[in-house]
Amino acid sequence: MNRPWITGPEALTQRLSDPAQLPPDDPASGLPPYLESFLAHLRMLVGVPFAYLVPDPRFLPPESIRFFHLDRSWTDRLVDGALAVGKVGTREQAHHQAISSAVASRLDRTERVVRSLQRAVRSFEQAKASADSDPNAAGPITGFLLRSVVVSGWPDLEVRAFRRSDGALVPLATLRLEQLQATVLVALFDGVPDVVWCEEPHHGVAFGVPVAGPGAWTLATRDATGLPVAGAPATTVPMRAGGRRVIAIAELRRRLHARHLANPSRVPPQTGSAAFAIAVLSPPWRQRFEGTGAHPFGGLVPVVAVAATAADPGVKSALEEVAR
Amino acid sequence: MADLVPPARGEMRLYDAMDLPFTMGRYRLTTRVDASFSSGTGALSSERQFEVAGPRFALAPDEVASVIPPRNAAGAFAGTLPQIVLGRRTLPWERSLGAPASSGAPPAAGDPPAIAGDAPWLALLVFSEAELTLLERMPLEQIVPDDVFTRLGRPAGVVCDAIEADTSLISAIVPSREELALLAHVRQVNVEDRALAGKDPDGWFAVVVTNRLPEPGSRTHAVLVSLEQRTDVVPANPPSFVDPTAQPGRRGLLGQIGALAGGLRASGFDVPPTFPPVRTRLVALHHWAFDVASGGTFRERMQALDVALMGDLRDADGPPVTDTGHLPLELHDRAGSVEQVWYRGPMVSRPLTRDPLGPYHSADQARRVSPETGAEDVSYAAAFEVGRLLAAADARLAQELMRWRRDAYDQSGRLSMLDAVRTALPLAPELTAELPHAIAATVAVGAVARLAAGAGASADPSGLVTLASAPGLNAEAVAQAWHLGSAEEARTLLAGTTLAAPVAQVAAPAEAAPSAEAIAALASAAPPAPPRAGRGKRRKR
Repeated sequence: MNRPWITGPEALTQRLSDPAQLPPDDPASGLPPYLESFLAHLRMLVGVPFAYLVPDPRFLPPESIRFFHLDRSWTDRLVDGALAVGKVGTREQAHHQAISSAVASRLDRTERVVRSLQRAVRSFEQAKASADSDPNAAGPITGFLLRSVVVSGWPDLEVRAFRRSDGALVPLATLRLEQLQATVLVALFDGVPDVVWCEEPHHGVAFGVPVAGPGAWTLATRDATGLPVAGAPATTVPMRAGGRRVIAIAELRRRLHARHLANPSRVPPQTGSAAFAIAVLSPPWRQRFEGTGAHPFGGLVPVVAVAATAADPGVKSALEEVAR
Repeated sequence: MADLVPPARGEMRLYDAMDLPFTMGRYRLTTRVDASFSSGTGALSSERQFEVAGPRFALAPDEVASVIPPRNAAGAFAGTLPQIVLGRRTLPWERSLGAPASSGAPPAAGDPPAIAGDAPWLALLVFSEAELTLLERMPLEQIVPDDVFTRLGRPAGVVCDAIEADTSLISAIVPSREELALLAHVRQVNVEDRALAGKDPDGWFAVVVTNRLPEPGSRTHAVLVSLEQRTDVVPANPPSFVDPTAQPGRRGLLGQIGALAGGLRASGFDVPPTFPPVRTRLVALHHWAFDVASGGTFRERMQALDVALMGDLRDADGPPVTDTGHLPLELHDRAGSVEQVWYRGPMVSRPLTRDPLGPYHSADQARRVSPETGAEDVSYAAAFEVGRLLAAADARLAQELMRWRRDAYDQSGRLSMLDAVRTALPLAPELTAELPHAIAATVAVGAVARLAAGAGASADPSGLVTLASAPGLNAEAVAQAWHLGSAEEARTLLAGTTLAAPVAQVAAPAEAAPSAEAIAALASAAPPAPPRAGRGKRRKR
């Protein structure tokens, strides 16, 4: 005989002492964490088939970046659809009707923690606690789709978005940054950015020589902190004979030292491997997308692509702002 | 070093080398004290032996903090010099390269100062897939030449991993002594900076860099090799160099010869200095591989991007998209006929206001007809269906959703019950406030209080008042119903059945109603009632 897992009196006791019956005036108080997390991910378009995002491949040709505003009504319908599972009668409809505004305002906060959940840096409870205390209401969400071999060739591309406020750059929260396919990256930001950066991944700090042409490399002249010296000529990287792509390290050092002799105040002498390392460290490249604001609909209209390296003094102060 | 302020976050300090009090090896420590005392002299002496040990023919994987490019990564690393980061900062300087076969050229005028100290014994070499043979678990005496084996101390029974490549290739890529020193340095990073420091507790690392750029479009192997006592492969002076430039005319003679040899190699000709090719083996301490994609640099790629807003089209033969971003699509409707509808994804080129209507209960509710074209807009209906399918595909989600709903219905039922209890029981305000928290106790107390209050006096103890209102005994009603002349006739007919006068009200019980406390006292004095079988319905969860 099967034993019932709960008897009548026990069920009654449980029901009468269930703390979930408090507070009785919040219909969404019992929203299960799994459901809430799923709906928040849906809000960020996680799992939505790509053909629904880009209905025609010509919208996103190879080697292109497309900025966009997120249609909130579209994502609200996604959530409605998800909650419509198993909706067979008026009882479910009445329930949905009653809780929908509470669920929507709750998801407006929870959707901000989807990225930290995706990166598994925090548990859902921790992330939600910080999101629930966020006083800011849901604003517009923007983002971009990048289709390029950059996505596959440079994994862990760094993306940041900024809003201009009194001449300073205020960082916007990144809500999603994910590789959808081998060469397609999607990014979502909390707000309308004025400037978007795509930065070559740091990976610690790697060594490298910029390619100056087929089979030729040059190094910019740097000062003691690694910043390029303005106006100083670049150094051609000498290679060992034999065509095996081997850098003639000793000769390169000799040439870098010659740069020091030509400009002793700015360029440090080649004293050893540390000085050599500073000269050969590859600075990450930062691509900058900037809006003109001249669009009749306002907001981000990326038409200018200004480029700078991360070590550029012009953007260094902004970088320090972000780091702080 | 200990008195140095650690670097700030995001900052990194570089050092040329680590000076070691001892290189690895066996040491004998002899102490001798000559003592003289009144009755003569004597000497106290003692001898101790100790050994400074460290990785030699193998390197545990956890000694490697990180490698660049990452293991098995694929990317455009053609301009990146692979590097290995070692958690043990002294490692590259722990062993000796051996006495140089010939001294290097002295620094000429204008040359940088010569590097003091011994060169590191570790080198990172980069090979393409075809150039390299990996050998696993080789006896050491089969890897190194006999004279090197002797200088290593002829350690017996050492088995380690090794690489094998053409001697001409090895001699072409192995750095010289000076270059080895330049290719290793020490980094100190802030321990709080997780991105740089990883799991290392002290923030100090030794970095060994290679001198060879990976070939684009190939699988590349990077090997950390031991050059301890390998004076046979490490050149004192680096080989000749060329200036590779885009213009062949500016290339030096050596460069042209090198390019010629490279071209011959590329076209299948082997141009070794000796035939058959002599192979050289080196002890391999760590090995990883990665794929180098062909293509331009990050900078070139990013600058060449086509930048626009979603929905902007570059060529005239693109899809016939409207300025609102809608795309005409063909839809098979329920009847099976093909219909032109509009669709727009969630990514739009302008800010939109959020639809205040909602929630929507079915996809059809979200279908709209565009007044300009008369065609349907199914964007939101499609979104609804995608959300529904994604949720239905997740079994756990469906369960959670059902449970959530059922809990809400239960909650709603409880609320109705509370309302009913509130109206039925005249509860004290304090009890009403407590009602949601402890409904069983509150209802019980309320019921007991009501019991104690009693039902009050009966309004019609004899029942005659009720009986009198029965139509059959009412003369007027009978006269009207039977069309009699008057009520008098009816009374005559009903003679003898007229009701007596109502009985006088029975007096209320003399004693006062017992209080709730009195009843509670009685109940506690009485023996406890046997537990009753519960009649609650079994609930399925």
